[in-house]
Amino acid sequence: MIARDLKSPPREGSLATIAHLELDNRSSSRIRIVDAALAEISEVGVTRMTMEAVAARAKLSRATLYRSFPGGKDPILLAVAETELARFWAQLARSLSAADQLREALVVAISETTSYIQSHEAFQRVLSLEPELISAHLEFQSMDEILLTASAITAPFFARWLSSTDSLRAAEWATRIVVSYLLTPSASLDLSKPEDATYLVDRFMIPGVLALKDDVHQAPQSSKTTKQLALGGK
Amino acid sequence: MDKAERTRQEITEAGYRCIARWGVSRSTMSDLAREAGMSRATLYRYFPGGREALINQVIKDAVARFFESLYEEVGESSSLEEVLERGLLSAHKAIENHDVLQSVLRNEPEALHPAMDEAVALVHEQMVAFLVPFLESYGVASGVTIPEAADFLARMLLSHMASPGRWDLADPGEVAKLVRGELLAGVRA
Repeated sequence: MIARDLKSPPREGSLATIAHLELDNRSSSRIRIVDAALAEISEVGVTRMTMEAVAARAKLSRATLYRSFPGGKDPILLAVAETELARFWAQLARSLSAADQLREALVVAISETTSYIQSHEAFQRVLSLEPELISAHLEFQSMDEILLTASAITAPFFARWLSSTDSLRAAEWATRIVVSYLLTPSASLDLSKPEDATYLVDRFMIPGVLALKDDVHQAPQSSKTTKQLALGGK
Repeated sequence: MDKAERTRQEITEAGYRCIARWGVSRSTMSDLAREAGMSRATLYRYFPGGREALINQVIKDAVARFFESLYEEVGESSSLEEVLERGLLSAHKAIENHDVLQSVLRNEPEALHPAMDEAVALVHEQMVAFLVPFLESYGVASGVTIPEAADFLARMLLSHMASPGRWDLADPGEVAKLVRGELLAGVRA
């Protein structure tokens, strides 16, 4: 259903469409439908979402609905997913740009993503009613695709401090952490809290990221400079 | 194992054979009963929860067997690094070569749940328990507790073995880099 389409990274064209949707064009049928679908999912989940209910919420006829989305439910679900993902990345990008150090950037990436997911009504509804729809996407090859996409999108924000290879690795690692704590919650750490995310980043991520940087396979650099770059300044 | 448990085990094994042959969705209670060599009525006596309960049991059993053999294989390791490196290399290979799992993932990934979700929680606990003695022997950095290190490592190991991401887990050099660099840097004393 939604699986195959979530796998591909956002295409240029679709991002442009989403950007258009985000503009204050509330009269557009398409944005009303996507908003209505999101609201419907927040209440009944994905499986029980019907075209009729979405049409009713959007105050549109079914005919209008099918004109905007001739393929029916699946394309609507895809549009909802793309819209929500675009909103999320836009928000995360703003926060990540503001980070002054690598440590801060990692903490922001982890805590904001976790927090966003925790307070996302539709996601939480699906998680409680039909968790298999989510967990199936977070394992094995589906997870690989998420790791590749998420790291490609966030890696540039770490490039101020790390090489592009190391940025990709760090971004992938942060994604793994978020997903792991989502699937297997911890009694002691709530990663939506910056202080808990900081605890994890300080204890495990920073040493790991630095160790990879100082790896013998790369051109030798002084450890001190490396640490300064990661923790200290620009 | 008493007779009833033995029969349940045989049914579970029969269930696995059905899934290997037809996949999860297409294995009906009739198929399962036939493979187990009993009537459907008898099958329901052993699995009152029906098809779902049986499939659930088959999946959990397969997961348990996977980790049992993994722990057996790496248990002899003489260092923390070795445990993790051998574990990742073996686990990755075993998952890639697991025909039944790969077939289900290709054709009907949602069929693995909710059994897989339940299995994951247990697997996490078991892996933490497995790692603790190694961490106790080889020591952790000050400022890190053994339970936290075990918890973190278990999470990262499970994540990597199921989804290597950008890491080539068939390459011992990459695995060593992942283990000694990323995973153990914060943990090791």
